[in-house]
Parts: sequence; C-alpha cells; structure tokens
Amino acid sequence: MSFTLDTAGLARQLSALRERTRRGGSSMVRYWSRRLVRELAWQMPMAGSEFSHRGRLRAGWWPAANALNVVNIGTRQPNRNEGWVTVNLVGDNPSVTMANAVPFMAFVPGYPAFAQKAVNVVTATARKELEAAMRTAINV
Amino acid sequence: MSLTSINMETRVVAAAREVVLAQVEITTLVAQRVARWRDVSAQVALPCVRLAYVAPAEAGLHTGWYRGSFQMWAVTHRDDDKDKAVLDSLFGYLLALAQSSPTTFTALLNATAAAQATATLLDVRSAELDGPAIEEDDGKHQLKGVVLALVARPSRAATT
Repeated sequence: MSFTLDTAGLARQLSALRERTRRGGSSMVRYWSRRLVRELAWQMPMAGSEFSHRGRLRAGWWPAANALNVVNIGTRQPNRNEGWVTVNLVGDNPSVTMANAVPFMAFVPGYPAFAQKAVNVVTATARKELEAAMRTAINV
Repeated sequence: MSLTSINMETRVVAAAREVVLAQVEITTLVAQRVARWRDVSAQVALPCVRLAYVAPAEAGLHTGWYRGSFQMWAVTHRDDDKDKAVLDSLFGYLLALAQSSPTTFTALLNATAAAQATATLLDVRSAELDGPAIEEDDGKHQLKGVVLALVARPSRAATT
C-alpha cells in the first residue's frame, strides 16, 4: 500500500515565489525540501512510551534528512532501511524525491492526512513568503 | 589483518560524557549519572543526562567524515520535578554547553582522553545546533533534548 502526497499546490507557490525572488532553482528546491522533510517528520504520529519502536515513523525520514543535511527530526530511533531519497539538483529541472517506507504507516489512525498536513503547512509558509515578497515589491 | 571498530556513536558519546562530567553545574544536579541512551549497565536514577549520536552518515563527498544527530537529553522524574525547575535548569546548562560551539565545544571534545585513546580516536570538526529543542513526557519521565549536527571522524591523522 502506498500513497503519494499532493504537492501540486506547493509547486505552484514555489514557482510563483521563484519568479518573484529570482532565486536559483537548485537552491530553492534544496531549501524547501529541507523544510518539508523536517515538517513531515514532526507531523508523524508518535506511539506511547511503552512501545520500543516509538519514533520509528519519524525515523523513516532519516535517508531524506541525511541527504539534505538535516539532523533534527525529533527522534532517537535509527532508520531500519525504511526509506529512500533521490536528490537531483543539477540541470534545468531540479528535484528531490523522498519516501518513508515504514511498513505499518498505512495502519496508523489518521493516515494519510498527517503526511498531507505537512505539505499543507509548508505550502502555507511558502504562500506567506510570496506575500511578503510581493509587499516588498510594491513597497507597502 | 586486525580491525578497529569505528562505531561512531561509542566514540562520540564517550568523549561527550567526559565533557559533560567536567561541568560542575551539571554534576551538581545529576552527580555521575551521565550515560549513553539505552545504557543498562547501571540502575536508572533521576535526574540524569542521556547522550546519543543517531544516524551518522558520510558527510557529503568527504570520505571518512561522518555527520550525525548528536543529542543531549535532560531527564527528570515527573513527580519529583512537577514544576520542571530541575529539568529546565539541566537543559539550560546542556544548551549553554552546546552553544559554546563552533570552537569551544569541539575543542573540549577533542581534548578528552577518550578522543585521544587509540581505541576511540575522535576528531570533531563542528558541532552546531540544528532546529528546536525536543520535549517529551511519557507520564513518568520528562525529557528535554538539545540536538546538534556533529561532524567527526574516527582518526586524528594530519591528513585524510
């Protein structure tokens, strides 16, 4: 069972923000991927302290976090080979693809809304930055 | 061929334990109870400090250097510290220690006996705060952790 997050809204905001700020594509993708992986980890539900695997859902983001030089994803758990990442920041179409493959995630209550919430939070942040950039441009 | 274990977690935690134990303000609160996470060699007594070095991965293209999540946790018993005074104070000292980076904290780590012993050689390049503090409460213990991005290598050779 797998689920792909809807990132179309985020892509739209980032595209508009990039046009406004004239920031380099690779740097922009890397910066927002860092924010997204951190937010994804923080939005993962945590089991009760009586479970030894508490924090394992967050640890599923370690491969992506490592690749993006993020070390704080709010867990002490190591990764159990349960995730992957592809970082392609060279060329005209830079991209970062990250996956969390913890097998029980689909059975956690709230799935997949908690993961989509992370994307929505980062989208909202991007929208705020875009608004700020536009306000600066028209000198309000 | 004889192999030397390059378990980075053991090396980093051994050096960090020495540094933490050398801070009078911290030992006043926790005595000698500074250990790595999941250490079961001694009975757990609170308050204490727990150390962990999680997910060390090769730091970019610099082969031999590792970058991981170094975590220093203040732990207190919930019923004995209901207003979190000890927890916040202990966490504050750990934060102060961490914020002495980028030079002081790494210099302290590099100067420890553990970092210079042959079996646990360690060379720390940088230790910088990353993201917010983590706070947890499981109903019995309350924890507050400071997280640093720590770059180190298991060698003290002049060149890599």
